[in-house]
Amino acid sequence: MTTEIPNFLARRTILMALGLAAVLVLVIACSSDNNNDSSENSGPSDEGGELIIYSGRSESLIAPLIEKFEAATGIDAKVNYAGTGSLAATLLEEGDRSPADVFFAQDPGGLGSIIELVKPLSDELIGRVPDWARSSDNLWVGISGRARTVVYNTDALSPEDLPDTLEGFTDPVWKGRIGWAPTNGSFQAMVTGMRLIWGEERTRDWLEGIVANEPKVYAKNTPTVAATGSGEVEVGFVNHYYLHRFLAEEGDGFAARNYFLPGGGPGSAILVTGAAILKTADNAIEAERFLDYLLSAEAQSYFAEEAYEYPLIDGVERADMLPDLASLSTPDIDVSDLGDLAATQNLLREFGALP
Amino acid sequence: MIGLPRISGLTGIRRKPNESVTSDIALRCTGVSKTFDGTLAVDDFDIEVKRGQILALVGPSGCGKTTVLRMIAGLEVLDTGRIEIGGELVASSGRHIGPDKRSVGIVFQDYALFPHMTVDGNVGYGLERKGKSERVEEVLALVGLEGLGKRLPSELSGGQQQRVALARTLASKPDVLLLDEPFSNLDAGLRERVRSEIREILKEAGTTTVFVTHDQQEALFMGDLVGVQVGGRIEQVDTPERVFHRPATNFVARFMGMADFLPVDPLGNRLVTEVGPARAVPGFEPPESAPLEVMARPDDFVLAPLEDGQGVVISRVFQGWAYTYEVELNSGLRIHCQMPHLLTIEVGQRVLVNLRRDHPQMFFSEGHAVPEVPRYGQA
Amino acid sequence: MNRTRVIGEEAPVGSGSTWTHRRLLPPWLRREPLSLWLAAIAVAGAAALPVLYLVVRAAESGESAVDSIFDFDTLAILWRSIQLIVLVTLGSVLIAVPLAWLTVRTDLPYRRAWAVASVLPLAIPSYVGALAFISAFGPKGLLQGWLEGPFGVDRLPDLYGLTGASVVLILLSYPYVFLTVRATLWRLEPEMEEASWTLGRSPWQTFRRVTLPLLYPAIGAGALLVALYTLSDFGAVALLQYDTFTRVIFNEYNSAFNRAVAAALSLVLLAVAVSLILIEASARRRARYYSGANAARRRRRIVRLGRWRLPAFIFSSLVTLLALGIPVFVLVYWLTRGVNAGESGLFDWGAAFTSVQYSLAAAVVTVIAAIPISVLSVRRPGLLSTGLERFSYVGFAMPGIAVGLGLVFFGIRYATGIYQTVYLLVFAYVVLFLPVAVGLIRSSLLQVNPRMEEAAMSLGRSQINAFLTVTVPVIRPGLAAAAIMVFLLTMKELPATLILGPIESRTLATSIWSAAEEAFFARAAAPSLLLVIASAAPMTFLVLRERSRN
Repeated sequence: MTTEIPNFLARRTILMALGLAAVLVLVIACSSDNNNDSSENSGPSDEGGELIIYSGRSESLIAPLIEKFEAATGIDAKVNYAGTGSLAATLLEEGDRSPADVFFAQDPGGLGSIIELVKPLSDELIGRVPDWARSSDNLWVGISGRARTVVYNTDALSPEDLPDTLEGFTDPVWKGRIGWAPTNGSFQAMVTGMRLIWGEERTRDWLEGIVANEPKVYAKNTPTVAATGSGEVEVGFVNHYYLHRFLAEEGDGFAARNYFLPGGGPGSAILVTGAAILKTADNAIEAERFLDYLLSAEAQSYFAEEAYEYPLIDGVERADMLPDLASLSTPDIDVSDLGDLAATQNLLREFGALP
Repeated sequence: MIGLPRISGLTGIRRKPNESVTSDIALRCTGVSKTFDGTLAVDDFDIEVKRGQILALVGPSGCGKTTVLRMIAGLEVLDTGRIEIGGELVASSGRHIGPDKRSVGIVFQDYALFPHMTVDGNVGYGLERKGKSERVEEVLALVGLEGLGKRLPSELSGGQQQRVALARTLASKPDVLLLDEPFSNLDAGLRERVRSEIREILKEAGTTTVFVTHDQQEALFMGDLVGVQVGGRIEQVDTPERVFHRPATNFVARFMGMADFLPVDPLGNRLVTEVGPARAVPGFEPPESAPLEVMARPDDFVLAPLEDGQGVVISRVFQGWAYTYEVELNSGLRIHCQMPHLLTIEVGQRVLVNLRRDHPQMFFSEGHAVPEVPRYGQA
Repeated sequence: MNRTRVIGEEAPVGSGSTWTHRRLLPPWLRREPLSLWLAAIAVAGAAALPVLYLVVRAAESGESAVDSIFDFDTLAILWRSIQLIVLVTLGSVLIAVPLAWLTVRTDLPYRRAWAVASVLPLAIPSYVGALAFISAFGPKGLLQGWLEGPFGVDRLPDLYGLTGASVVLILLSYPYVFLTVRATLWRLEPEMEEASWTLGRSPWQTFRRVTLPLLYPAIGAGALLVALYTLSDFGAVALLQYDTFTRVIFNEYNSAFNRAVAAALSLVLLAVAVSLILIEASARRRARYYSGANAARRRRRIVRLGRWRLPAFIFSSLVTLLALGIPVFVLVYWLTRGVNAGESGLFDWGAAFTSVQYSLAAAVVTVIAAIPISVLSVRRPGLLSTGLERFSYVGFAMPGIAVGLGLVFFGIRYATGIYQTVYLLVFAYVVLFLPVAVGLIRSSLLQVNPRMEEAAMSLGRSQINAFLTVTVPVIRPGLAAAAIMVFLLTMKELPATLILGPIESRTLATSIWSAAEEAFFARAAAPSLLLVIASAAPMTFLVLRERSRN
């Protein structure tokens, strides 16, 4: 027995699904438009070109700078923010087909890993920064400087209590009072420097000594500084500028200060953030202009004032509360050598510092 | 009959009744009422079921039969009234003994077998460990499912599942067994066979049973007693024969089978209808100044084709050994008459309609039977 | 077009239907439309792409990969991961099952509110949750600060390590089990429990012997999600200083030239995930527990708690306080501190909008993609359909960075058009969250009687039609739950979004991350709160709708 049965419900369900899908497509289409216009201040003029930047430096820091760049040059800059390491991995995956023009890295290690993918920069650009702040083959240029330091808790310690060099912290009296972040790129760069300056043996001794003191492990510099301020640990091996961020957010009451090792050595190394232009860059000219901007007085002041980092070009002063770069006993190493992380990581792994 | 003792109170599950004190009445409900969300679902429900009897509760959907069942089981709390099982008061306005403490078993409409247990597991679920496997075997044999103990419910047919559900409740020998529309899930052809098998099982187990159905045929077949319920109230409780032949109200009459009601004019001591005189029991007294009707079932009428008869055949249904004719009388009233197949009357033919006079009819006034016997029947 | 059809009848030649060539197919394929199988295989194949990527990369590294896999330290760390998984899964089940039961079956006051509050922890990304916990309960955290004055507590014992990591992850992931168990509880036939009751078992015995076993499939599905989530978590364990296998992988990836080794290790992770999936599968029996057609209509039995009300209340409050209250409190604290310090522009509505869009898209597409696999695995359980379903689970276990890079690998080579667009990103979300949708839809389908569809088909509907008009309305809660879960998970997803997202787009998750990286806590707090609120809305909707239907 066959009877005709109307398919209201089926039709209705399908229509609903289609309607939903249509709304979805519209929504997505609108969103990509919206996002393209999201940098409101920039009015890319008609002659301005395009630029694609992969930035390992965080958006909250860099975005305002990008806006200024766009306003000044009329170039429409699109920035891909992510971790330096994962961006490097992405660039390696993308290979020849990468859409990126510029890679702006947080530390030399990131640049070192993609060194095959970049092309040499002009002498003029390179020349703006000190010799030690650029790669030896002109493949990348440092943008701002960061000093390694020891942050200490002011309630528990005063500068007199602290040793002159990093090796002093291997003393058993420091057991349970140290915090570090061995997975952090800057830390690893410092250890690389250590291997270059002190040699393998001494570096191993140092690692052994610190590990014996059962340091608390943090994922990054920020939690290390936070822990030092709260008193969870009493000292931490970090980059200098994090403290200032905390001071800005929490005020002078934040119970931690930086201690720059008077004895020098790798614990006082100056690291740099750096940028490079990729071989695959479609917008090479705009890329150069961007690097040019980064090394301009405007951008360098920005790094000095907003990030408390060390400017690298002449004529721009560091922020007041920072010690003079020259006064720090910086070791004599080439930052480009700090890009070799493989051996460092193996070493760290050997001592159980890295999982 | 299975002679195992009742499940003891070791696990605190069932009470241990003292056999000699056990009353003859297995189930007694007095004035039970329940309101759901402002509607009176069960209204002043009165019933008494003797040990070993089967009571069929029948009525249209939504008349509250299932609610009554659930109250007897203890799954619903009554508002007013009393329920006594095996002589023990299990529910009243101030008292409610939970289902786990009552000696009641219930078989749900979809059987509610535990899908994650085997048949053995299901049937033995309510039993103590001691003597469990023997009892399970026994009960499975009783319902005719020997050897299927290791199967899962999903591997059984609908009929088999029902028997497992039945076995499960019978296993712990409850005082009262409740069945909720047990045959509505079965195909029509299967239904009759299963009905009689189940009835046999119940009788063999000797369990007092209340079962609920909306099918009056089933009720008439299965029940020792039939209770007709409508709108939450019991209209009549009686033997099947009496409920059918001596309905207490118009509703019961119509519900239990096709019934027509003809107005009766009590001229003197003769009861005259449109189709002739109606016969009553000797000593019948019609109510004074109240309208009177006579109830006639299709087999109470006789038709004969006649040119100037008082009725016209409107339709005709062939039922194999008989025809059921629908006849419209001159007054506009329609009646139904069943005649053997040897006589064939065409639709549209005029007929003479008469009431049989070989047995007394039932008379009704204002919806109720004019009493010849007390309202509630005796088994 | 609407020509009705009797089952088994062949459509006349030229009618354009797919029925005519069915005779050419083997019997086991014939009963479900071919298109369904193809769809399921396509979806599973898409989920396979990142795995393919891992295999390709791992093969590159050859020796060193094998060495690092079988290194003793690696295995030791794998063991640590496993310990964590066991603890978190057990803890989640122990919290979620009673909570689900309390909010569905008892007369606990404000049940709906508790239900919503119980699910909201899912909205909190694990790293935010961990950060909040450390901030609140750390040795020198907020709690210690309060206790220092009146009680002179100088330092609280630290919750780093296995304890802290377990506690935080339990509190953030128990909602997985809560949701699956709750969904099943709604659909359980009350007659079964009533039957048990009338057979003489007390309510507690009924729960233990009838209700709980019927919940095992749901518990298993939820527990699997918890286990896989724990396996792949990086953020929380890093902050809580507990080294897990995933951390190793992350470190390898972040030193880019170790991608090959990282890929090899990811495959090990996958192997662990596969074992978990197989364990759940073997624990899951032939669960054809479907309820009768009128199960939902019966008035549901409410258990009166009586004197247990207070303990139940305390239990629920404690869980909600810890899992939801603490993180929200800390976030608000950071936010107010930032506002008081004069920070502005904290609420990034653009990012919120983008997050919602992506999440909506991901939810819809994932649910649709999940339907073929779910249907086939429930209705035609066989090697292929079960294999497809199991396979779809791997996406959830892979680190987001592996999925991201895998799709970069394929996208940049074979799909440049959609590379770095929303479409590839949504694709990544589907790969990542497919198993969640499949799990929920499956649980829902298990409660549906396939006879209903067959009844509809015997009345002349086509199979698709019958599915849409008969089954879909019944599993709507499951579909909605799946959509909402994927929505939540996408809202807080980070690594794949960072890698594959369109260049200029910002989501709440990436805002949180970038702010937290630079210690801008107030700026991290604002999008975190937005995330919780944006996730609360669909969650509430789902819970309220559940109630009215039942």
